Amino acid sequence: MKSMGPAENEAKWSQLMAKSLDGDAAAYNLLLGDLVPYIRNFCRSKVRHLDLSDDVVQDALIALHRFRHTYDPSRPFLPWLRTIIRHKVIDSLRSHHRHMQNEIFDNETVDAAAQPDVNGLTSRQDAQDLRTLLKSLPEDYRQPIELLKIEEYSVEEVAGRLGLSPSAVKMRVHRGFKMLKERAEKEVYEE
Amino acid sequence: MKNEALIDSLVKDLKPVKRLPPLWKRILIWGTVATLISGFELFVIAQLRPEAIDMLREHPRFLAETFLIFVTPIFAAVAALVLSVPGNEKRNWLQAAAILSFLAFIGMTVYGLWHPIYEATVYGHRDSCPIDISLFGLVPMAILFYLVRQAAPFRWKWLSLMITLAAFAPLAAVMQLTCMANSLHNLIGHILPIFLMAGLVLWLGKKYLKT
Repeated sequence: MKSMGPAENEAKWSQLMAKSLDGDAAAYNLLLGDLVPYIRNFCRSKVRHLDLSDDVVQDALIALHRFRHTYDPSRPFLPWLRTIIRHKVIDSLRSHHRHMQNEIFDNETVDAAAQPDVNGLTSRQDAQDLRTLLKSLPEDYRQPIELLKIEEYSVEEVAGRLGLSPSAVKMRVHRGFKMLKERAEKEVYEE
Repeated sequence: MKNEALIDSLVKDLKPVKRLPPLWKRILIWGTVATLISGFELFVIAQLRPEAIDMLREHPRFLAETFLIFVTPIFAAVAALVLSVPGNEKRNWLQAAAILSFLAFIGMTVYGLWHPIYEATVYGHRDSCPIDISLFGLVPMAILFYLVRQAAPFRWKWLSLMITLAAFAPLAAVMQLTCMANSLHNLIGHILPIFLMAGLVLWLGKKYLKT
């Protein structure tokens, strides 16, 4: 049987939403379950990274829940829903863009730190300290950093080896660097 | 967290919700507050300039300026209240109308610096206009913040700008009829405070409207 499209479903979703506003949990459960594929398709048409679009689906569900009181059952449901999803897509892309910028900054910082300083004092001890810190990271974060920065594979190669998407690799490297930075600062502070 | 687990937790959290009041009611709340504050400024704090009504009749440009600064806050308030509800993007023209009418008012005031249409008058000369506009505008501003926050303020920067115009421009409109008719004074005493308050409203918007 051919599944109904969003336009055909709109009246049904609108009714389910109206019942949900009155606290009908069964209707709400049915509605949210029904909406997931629609939200996912909408996100994937706007966001290329699969990881990101899955995050947006959850953000959109949370936003729908938070702002459900703004839905007026006498008005069409889809434009209301699309505004919420679109807003979450924009938020997510902005946050992704910020992460990418931070990552570039972090990479430059690490590259600069790897150069000998003016007195040639970037020592074996420093390298040893960095290795120790790196070992203290959880494997999920340590592996991409080692492959990308020490063994100098490309992002795509690391993604292939670890079975991740390129954006997930970048995200893990970024988070790994962040953890390294925090741990290094903590050590300096304790010293 | 998987989608199913998230849906379960959202369903568990479900309670009957108090729905957003209808648009007309939200506009009426702003309109009442803005009218009361403007009326207080017009009849209690300042006074209608003796020749203001004659000027409206005799000078079409003055009439146009006054019309523009009166419709600016109406467009802005309706835009803020309509666009804070998801699904109303087609009514984006409201915010364009608010900005265009305000810019046209500024343009006409600037033009008046070189081409005055009326003799500058000392009637209604006051130095406290910027303070009155900034101070009394805070009341409709607070009301609008409350009304917009009740909804879904996704585009907080635009909404903050609309709140600024809807809250402070009514006072500038009243000044048009109470304060001295002088373009330079209008720019510094009536328009500049709106720009300054925009900074405050944007800061508050980032703090309280950003979702």
